[in-house]
Amino acid sequence: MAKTRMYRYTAIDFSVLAVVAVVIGIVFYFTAIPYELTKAVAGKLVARLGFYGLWFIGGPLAASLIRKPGAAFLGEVLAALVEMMLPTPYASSVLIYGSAQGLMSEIGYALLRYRRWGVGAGALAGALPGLVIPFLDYALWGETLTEAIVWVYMVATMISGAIYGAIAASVARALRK
Amino acid sequence: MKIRPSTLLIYAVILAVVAFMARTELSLVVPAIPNFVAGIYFTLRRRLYIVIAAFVLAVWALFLNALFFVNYGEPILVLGPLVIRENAVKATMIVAFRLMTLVGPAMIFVSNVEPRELIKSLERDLGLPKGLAFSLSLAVRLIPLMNRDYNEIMNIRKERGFRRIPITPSDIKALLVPLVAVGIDRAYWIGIAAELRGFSLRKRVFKPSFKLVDYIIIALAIVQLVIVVFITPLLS
Amino acid sequence: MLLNAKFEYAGYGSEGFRLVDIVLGVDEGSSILVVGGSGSGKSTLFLALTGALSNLLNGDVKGYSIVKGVDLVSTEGFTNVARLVGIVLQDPDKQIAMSTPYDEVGFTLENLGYSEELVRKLVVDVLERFGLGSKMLREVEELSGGEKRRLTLASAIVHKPPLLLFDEPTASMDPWGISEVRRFIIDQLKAGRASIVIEHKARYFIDLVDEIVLIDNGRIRARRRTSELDREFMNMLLEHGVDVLKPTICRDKREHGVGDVLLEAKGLTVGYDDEVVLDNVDLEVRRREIIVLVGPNGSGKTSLMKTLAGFIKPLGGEINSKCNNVVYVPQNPDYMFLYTSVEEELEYIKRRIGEGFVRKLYVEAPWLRKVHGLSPHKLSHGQRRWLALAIARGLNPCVILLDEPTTGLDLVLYRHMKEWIKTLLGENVGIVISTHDPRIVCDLADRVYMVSNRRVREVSPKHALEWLEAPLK
Repeated sequence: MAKTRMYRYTAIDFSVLAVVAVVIGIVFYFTAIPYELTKAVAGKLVARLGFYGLWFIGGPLAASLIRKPGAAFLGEVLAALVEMMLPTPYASSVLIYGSAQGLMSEIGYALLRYRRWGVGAGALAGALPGLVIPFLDYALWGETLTEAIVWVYMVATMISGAIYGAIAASVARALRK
Repeated sequence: MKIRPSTLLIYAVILAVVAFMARTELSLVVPAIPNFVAGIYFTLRRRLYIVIAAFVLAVWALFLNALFFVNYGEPILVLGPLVIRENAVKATMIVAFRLMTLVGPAMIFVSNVEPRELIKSLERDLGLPKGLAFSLSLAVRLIPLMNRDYNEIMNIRKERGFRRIPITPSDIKALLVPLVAVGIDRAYWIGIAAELRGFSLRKRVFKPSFKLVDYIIIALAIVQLVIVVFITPLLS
Repeated sequence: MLLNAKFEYAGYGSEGFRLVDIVLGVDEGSSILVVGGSGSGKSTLFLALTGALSNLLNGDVKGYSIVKGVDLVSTEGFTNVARLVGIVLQDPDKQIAMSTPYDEVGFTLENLGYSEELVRKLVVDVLERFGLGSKMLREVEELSGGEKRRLTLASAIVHKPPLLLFDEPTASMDPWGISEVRRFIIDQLKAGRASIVIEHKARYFIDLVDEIVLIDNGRIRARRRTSELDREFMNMLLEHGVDVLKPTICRDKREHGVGDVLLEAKGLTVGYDDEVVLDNVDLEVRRREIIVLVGPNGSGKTSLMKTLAGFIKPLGGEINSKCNNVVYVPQNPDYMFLYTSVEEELEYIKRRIGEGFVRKLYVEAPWLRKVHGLSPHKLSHGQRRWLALAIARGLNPCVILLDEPTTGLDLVLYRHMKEWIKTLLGENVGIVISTHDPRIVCDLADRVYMVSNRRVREVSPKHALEWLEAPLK
């Protein structure tokens, strides 16, 4: 009884998911400019280190606010759907990236057996999506990249993801009802 | 002949999969050209220039990237110290084709689908669970509200001497804090109101109403997937 | 009896119970008004009565809330809540979940399993009746504040529930909106529907209800049939922060000397690219002077303030400022807080204006020490308003613009706010307040400008007060 209650989603949880999706949509929309600028000025590596983790915060933010299994995955996927409706230049690739990233964040929380939702867990859930990025990147842009640089990007992405995952979780911790 | 919004979404997703899986120029030409042309044809006029400009810029960035990382093979063009080689051009071309495959169907989707109709169609035609349908509907409701929140916060940032565009992690945190705080306070009460209005009694409405034209479009996407993934690798 | 509720206790066990020994009853077709100051447990009562506290928010409730034989506190009973109760919450933006009026009103009906045709018929019918027929498929965000309120009223009764529950329905409303809520309650009582109104602005509802219940600190302090109201009971309400009096006396002498002109607008046109909101505005703000802008929601008060603050470019005319720091404080104080703890906010103030000022703040608000580690967003309503003002003061302003600073404040908090605003005068600033709260006009205004029909003109405080009270006659 207690367990089913803990895992069942109420309309409040679904509302929080919606808020997370729109927050991420807005943040993406307005950080696309500094991201692209940084990429142009300082190169892709710096841009990835500085911003790429933002793409992953849907998972940690939703999960640490809702604290139920599935929240990380749904948070990231809904954010991607909203982003597709907005729309952004990244087109329908966001659905594929979003699903994969959400899944990785979800795995992070599953590894912690859905018992830890703090800043550390957020950092893990933010870093893990970085692992699949090289494969997706390689599938999409592979011909214009070398293998070595893909791995370097991966490390940069994971660091960035961990930072923003931790930030998302600390914001959630301060504000959770 | 009204196409269901879900059909256009399925089409866009399958073609995104096609783009991710296709490996040769030959296999990419098949979906890239017709989809991109169709995408441009269906895009609203006021958006068209932006889309084309973004596409041209993206291809240019790709080309620079290719020049930097994979510029080898036979020289094609010599511009003083800069030698453009075969592989850089080929790589740019193949990724550009992939982008065209992605962008075309997405433009058709975005230009022809109203969010409200899309959600209704996802619920009816694809059986999207009621909770996710609720989240999506609410997201559509929240976009203008939270855009207003964002503007208020930007005013306060200006007033308090924060950078206008957030560029450091702590900057982004200072943007997230009020945005999420105001957002979840709202979400909390909206969620309670929805439950008090019988959300838990709500039934899933799964009554697909696809017409012939929908099946044709989905079949078209599957045909492209089969050609790209199974047939062209056999040819080469 | 239609509703029969009794709570031995209710709340969240870990925090101590918010409600103790509550007994409430409502007969068919009658109405009660539950009043109490901020933090008295009004919101918890709303959540306990509807069963949301026990079924949704993991609260601990011992007791029952029986409507037509169904106990909403129980899990099985709670599934019936939508059929039995129609709800109206404080702020329409914190209630409306769908993006069009049609979907919003239809939401309850769809949940209750009405057929598609019946949903269409009922929704169209009720929206026509509430004057929203032509905006059925518009985006909710295109509606005015009053229209959004009407939409929530329509949603509350479309499925004809026997009981209506209102949680502070006037909090975000101007007098015109309040009068619509009143008219709605009158109509519903006529139609034989019972109502519970939870409010601290009692004066808007006293003449409509059958009984008044005062709660304080989670307990029922007093109750009285409205037919038996007396002075003693009214005084008791006032003492507990409940607003029962019409503001009548307007101060006509100012106790402080007004200084030089700090901010001046001449022939100002306020608006956005595609629309003029206010035309030809002349306005002056002097040192140690309180200017009050009154007008209905959506009349352009906020746009004018944002133009004065420099957030919106004027479309024409000029703004002359003798100082460079005009600080705007938004209606919702939550926008002001950019850090995750009170401590960091104070640290920021210290960096801006120095240690001395922060020390002064600690004297003004001794409670600050206890909440250091909390997020500013978790403070009480009154504390958040104070902190937002403190941040504004820390920016060393010469003119402070306060947008609806008294929204949702009970009498006790309102009096605090009045003191805080007077403190500001002591710091030699000019103050502009936008409001539709008649209390402010009488208590604080040195001069009043009326904002309506794209125009701004100076009027006497007395005139402004009459204008604000007129819709409620």
